[in-house]
Amino acid sequence: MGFSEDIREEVKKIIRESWAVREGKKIPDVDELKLSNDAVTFEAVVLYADLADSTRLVTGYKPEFAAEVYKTYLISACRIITRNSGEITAFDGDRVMAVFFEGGKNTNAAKTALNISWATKMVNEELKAFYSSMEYTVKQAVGIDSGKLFVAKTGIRGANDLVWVGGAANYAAKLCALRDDTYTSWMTDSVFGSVLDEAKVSDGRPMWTQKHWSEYGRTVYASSWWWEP
Amino acid sequence: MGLTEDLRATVKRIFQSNWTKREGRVVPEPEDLGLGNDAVTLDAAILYADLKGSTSMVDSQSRQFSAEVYKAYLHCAGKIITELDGEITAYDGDRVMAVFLGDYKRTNAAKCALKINWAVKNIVNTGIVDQYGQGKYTVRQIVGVDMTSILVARTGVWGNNDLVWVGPAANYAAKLCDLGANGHNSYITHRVYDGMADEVKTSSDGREMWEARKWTAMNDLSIYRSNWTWVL
Repeated sequence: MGFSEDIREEVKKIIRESWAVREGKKIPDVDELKLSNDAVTFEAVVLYADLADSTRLVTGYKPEFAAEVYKTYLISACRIITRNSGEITAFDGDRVMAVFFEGGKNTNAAKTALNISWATKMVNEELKAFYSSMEYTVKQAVGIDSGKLFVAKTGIRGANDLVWVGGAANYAAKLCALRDDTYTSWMTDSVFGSVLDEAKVSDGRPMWTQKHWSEYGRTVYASSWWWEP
Repeated sequence: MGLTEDLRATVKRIFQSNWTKREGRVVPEPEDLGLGNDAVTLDAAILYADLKGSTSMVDSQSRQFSAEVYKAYLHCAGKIITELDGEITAYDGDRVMAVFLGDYKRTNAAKCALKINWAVKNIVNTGIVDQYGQGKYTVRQIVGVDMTSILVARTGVWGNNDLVWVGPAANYAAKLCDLGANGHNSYITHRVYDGMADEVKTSSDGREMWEARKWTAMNDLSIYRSNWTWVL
């Protein structure tokens, strides 16, 4: 069979075959899913941590310096995610996607956002300590949404093999674009409603401010607070 | 050491260490790179293939159908990239990043854009019509390609997919996919266009397949757009 027919056959199979879907409690191993239309669904909280302004960084600064910024931010974000029981599910250039499940998932994700906000402050302190004349400040945003996710295998070799389908994955990524110089952590009201006080209130002061996301008509919460892990 | 001290020590080391850098000819395996400030630089054409409108798709269509669209699109893009000697380097939700190296990197990457356009129109969208009838859903996508020097380093935080790709082409290729509100499916910078073979510039009947534009948001960078398809 030629290349073109081969691809057509595969696409036909994907579009025609019915799905085997089961409820899951954790991220499936790639081997647990078949290449055919086989999927697992679960309730989860999705978090994106996104380095802002990276185009200015890679076009205006030396590549080694830019790579140091990428590495310090991404390593810090990933360690904090793992520490708060999140699982990293995708890693693409200047952002990380992670998923939180089960007990305390909303609180864990909210805490992760505030911890990453601390890490960014720490990275900037260390950057200034070593490059005293450098005029660069690392900026970033974390976006969090929750909902039902549907996970299937893509069959793409050499890349992370799972596809995550569900509004939460899209909205969490889009929330990162709402960042401004004050607010760097963003979550939807569906997450906020289930976050425990420990990640909402500090010494009686609310750490999150209600906002309206006019583009999607949703109520969201933003924070400028940081929390040392 | 607690996490806080540990992170601060790691960050300090990254800023303070010198880099070891070498020129590469192939996409490095994560194991080829040290966890310290070790990097490979590549002259690479970077391609992003981006499914558009996926938020409204997952909001309005069933999860199963949306997953079929993701899988079908990614399958086509992945196969075509590999066929043209590109390598998929990252995959995140609704977009794929690929790297093209070697003497024909510009030609291969531009051809890849036109072929993915063909496959979406003639395999994916016709497949959806065959199965679900007219008017169910039309897949829209954009491919962006740029070429510059790229520095590849390892972060060490996530299994085997933890390389960072640092260089203007990675950012511009991704941002090119946000253009095209007017319906063009392929966007490349002049750095790709200028060095690519005539076969991807001009159609077999002698017509120009790319139209020159200025990218106003990026200091009037010279770019080219195309609506052409290339049959697989």
